[in-house]
Formats: sequence, C-alpha cells, structure tokens
Amino acid sequence: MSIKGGYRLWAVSALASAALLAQDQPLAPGAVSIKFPTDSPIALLGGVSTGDSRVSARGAALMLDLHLALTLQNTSGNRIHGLTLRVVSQEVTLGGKNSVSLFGLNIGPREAFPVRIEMRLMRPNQMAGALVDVNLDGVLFQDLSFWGPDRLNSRRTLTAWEMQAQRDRAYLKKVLAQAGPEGLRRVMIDSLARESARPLLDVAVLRGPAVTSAALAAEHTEQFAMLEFPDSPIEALGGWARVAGNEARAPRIEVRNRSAQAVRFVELGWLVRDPSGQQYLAASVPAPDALYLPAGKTASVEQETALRVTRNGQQVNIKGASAFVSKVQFADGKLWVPSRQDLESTALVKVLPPSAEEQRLDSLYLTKGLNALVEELTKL
Amino acid sequence: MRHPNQATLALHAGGDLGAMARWRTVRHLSRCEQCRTEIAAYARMRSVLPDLAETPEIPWNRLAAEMTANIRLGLAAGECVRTTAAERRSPVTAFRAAVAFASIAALVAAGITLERPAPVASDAAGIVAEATPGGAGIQMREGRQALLLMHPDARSSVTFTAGAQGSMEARYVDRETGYITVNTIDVD
Repeated sequence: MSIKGGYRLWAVSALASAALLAQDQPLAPGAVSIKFPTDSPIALLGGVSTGDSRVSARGAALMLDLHLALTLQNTSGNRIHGLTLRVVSQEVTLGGKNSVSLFGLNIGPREAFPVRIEMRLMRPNQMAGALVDVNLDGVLFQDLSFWGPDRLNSRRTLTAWEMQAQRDRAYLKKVLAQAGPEGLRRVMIDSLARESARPLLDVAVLRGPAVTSAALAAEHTEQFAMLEFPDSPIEALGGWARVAGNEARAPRIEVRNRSAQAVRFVELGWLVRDPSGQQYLAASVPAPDALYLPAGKTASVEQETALRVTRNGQQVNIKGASAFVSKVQFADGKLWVPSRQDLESTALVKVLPPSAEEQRLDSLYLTKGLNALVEELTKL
Repeated sequence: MRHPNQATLALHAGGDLGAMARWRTVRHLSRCEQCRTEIAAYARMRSVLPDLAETPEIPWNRLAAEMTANIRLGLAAGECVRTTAAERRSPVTAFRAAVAFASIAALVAAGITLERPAPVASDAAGIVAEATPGGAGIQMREGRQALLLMHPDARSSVTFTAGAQGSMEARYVDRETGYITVNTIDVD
C-alpha cells in the first residue's frame, strides 16, 4: 500500500470513529426537565444527578439510557406514604413513557428523600424541548388523602397498596402482641419460606392482532373456577378464556355487585393450572375504567389481550383457570381488598406474591434483624 | 505375486508402453521368470512377422495394422469396462457416496426443523410486555425493538405482576433507601 493510500485509510477511520463517538454521549443534566406545580406537596432539592445516563442515536431516534438520582422534599403538612412519577420522553409512540412508584415511605413534613430512576426511553431525533420530562402523577398521604393529576390511576393503586399494608401490619402487630418477638420471628421465617417456595411462571402479555400459530394446540374455551370471599362486595359469577397450549386470551368474567353501593372499578386475579395441578398467578384482570356498576347489577369484565406462560424457557400448557376478586373501588373512591383471612382460607396466600408491605418488612427483617422489625411495627 | 496382464506384456514386447507402465513392467520382469518367458514369446512373434510380410499374395502389413488397431481398441474397451466395474465394486467409494447423501439429508432435515413455516411467533404481530430474560428488568417489545425498565440492585427480590390490560409491573425493595420501588410499563 502506498503512503498516500495509508493516509487516506487513516483519515477515513478517524472520521468513522468520530461519527460513532458522536452517536453515544453522556446525558447532560440540562436535558432533564423536572417540573412540579407550585401547589405540589413535593419539591426538588438541588439538581438532578444524571450519573451514567447516556444518549445514543439509533437511526432517526434517540435512545435514552437513564440512571437519574434526585432528592425530593415533602413540602406538605402531612406524612407521605407513596408517590408516582411519570417519566416521559414523548407521548406519541411506543417506548416514550414509563412510571416509577415509591411505596412504604413515611416522610414527614419538610423531610427529604431520595428517588432513583432507572429506565430506557426512545424519542425522535428531531424533537424540540428537553429530552426527558419528569412530572408527578400523584402523592398518597398517611390519611389516604391524595394529591395529583392521577393520569395513571395512581390514587387507586397507591391506596390499594396502603390498605394491604395496613392489613399486613395489623396482622403482624397482632402476632407480636400475642406471641412476642419469637412468635413474630416464626411468622417472618414462614413468610420467607413461603415466598421462596412460591411457584413462579414467566408471563408475557401480548397485545395486538391474534395470530394463529400451528405450534399451539387447538384453541378451546376454558371455564374459570371461581374462588369466593364471603366479605367481597363483588361476586364473581363465572367466566371463560380461550386457551391453546401455553397461551390464554380474551378472558371474560361475569360479576355482580352484591353490596349496597355503586362500584366503579373491579379487578380480578387470574390463576392458571399446569398439567401437574400446580396453580400460579398469571395476571390481574382489571375492568375498563368506564365501569359503573350499581348495587345488585351484573357486568362483564373483559380484556382482549393474551398471556403466554413459560417456565425456564419451556412452554407450560394451561390445563385450568380460576379467578378471584382482588380489588373493588366504590363510586365514592373507597376501596376493598381481600382480608388476610380470605387469602388464608382459600390457600391463595401460598400462590400470590406478598403484598408490597410484606415484601418491605421481609427485607427489613433480613437486612436489619428482628429488633428493627419490631421497632418498625411499633412506629407505624 | 500379481502379474501384468497379457496386453501389457504384448505392448511391452513391442515397445508401446508408456514410461510409468514400462518402469513397473521392467521391475516386475526382473523378478518374474514366467513373464519374461511371455515377453520373449511376444518378441519372437514380432521378429517373425516382417518375414511373413515379404510373402507375396498375403497383405501381411495390412493385416498387422488391422490387428494392432483391434488390439488397441480391445485394450481401450477393456480399460473402460474394468474401470467402471472397479468403481462399482469399491466399498470406499460407496461409503463416500453414502456419507454424502446422509449429509445432504441431514442438512435438509435441519433446515426444515429450524425454518419450518408453521409456528408463527404470536408476538410478531403485536406488543409484548414481559420480564426480561434473566430478570434484570421489564420490557415492552414490538418486533425486535424493546424498551426497558431496570432494577439493577435488587434482582433477588423482584416480584413481577402482569396485567391483562397490557401492563407489566416489577416491584422490589431498594436496598439503599428501603423503599418499595414499582416500575410499570403499559402498552397504552
């Protein structure tokens, strides 16, 4: 190769390297916009740490790999127990927005707390404005009051978690009062053992046009077996889903409001059974947001999505399905969740994941020990 | 000991063999009295033929030319027949052919197995919300594009919950803060 040719090759390589480097660069702190309304109960303290966040060009799109750390302050006069943040790069197409919720908080007035955001988003290359907008969807306070635009139904979600937390804390406090710290230790060990023994499935939720797959068995209608809770305001009357091999789709469950109040939201838990008879939680089946179910009336809870279940990468054929009422919201905004007794009497406690609060207290017991757990239960 | 055939000995006697065949035949003749006798007989016959050619009324030269041509034709034909028969009988050649056919059959079978048209991935047509392989996060996937929500520091205690309306939730305890963190992706 001539010297002239070598220079040309070097120049081309340098230009190519420069172009590649230009496609992947750190995210500048100014590219993140955090805006809370002036009457928001939380405020941003200091700036945003973008850490290892990076921006890379992918054709006509930008891939944002976010590792953000921020510190928020409770500017209200009430204790904060949970919040939800929307993280948006664009709202038009897939992959432009996600949400992060924090729960198990107990943040007093003027106290600060850290928040971390780890996610990837996409946005068009030529779009104006900040690359990422972080805004508040809602804040739940200790007294179950709520503040926020609630575009993601955060009020309902955070309130249900809080009610489950109150239920599980009350149960553990009762154990502590009746059996002392050693009794509490046994219950925590049981809880951890149950969680490690809980049967798990990998579930993918598919949304889109149905595709006939010759790899699957012939589709058939699978009737739901209903698990009844005596104190539930909603009775699940019956239902079915279309099942083929390890895929189940289009669940439809008839429910009746047996309470004296109108109901505006119902969510059911959907269990599937494998050929050996083992049950797994497959998904939650929420009613559409437009539901309004007066007292004594019936309605159908339907979804058009499909679930595909696998375990360790292998198909798990679905041999049965059952359902139970997991959440009810009345027209006045109040919620019902199953009691501890409901879950234990139906053996659901062995199949369902622990509540968010039970998961937090399990972690506290594991990392800080029994005394820290007792102190936490006494404090709350 | 394997003897050269009669055609080779006849051609050697007339000096018509090629270099390699002549070298092999000479090497054999050095050890084989029987073949040397055969060669000598052929040589005597060749020495007599010119005398016969001088006899009038008989066209010996033409007959000799025709005989030589016939011998060469017969040798050539014999070579063709012998080569084909040897190839048909060779077990090595048959084994190679069998291996070749088996390889082609295996290739076709593998191709059909890997690329069979029947199973169509259902998610090819829509959006999928799922936990990532290995449990490092949850993702929303459409075709080959995937968007991730990650939870890098709490892999051992992540709880995934699917929503039939098209959502996936990953819940874990942040080890630094002790707070429950819930990442949610929603196809809507």
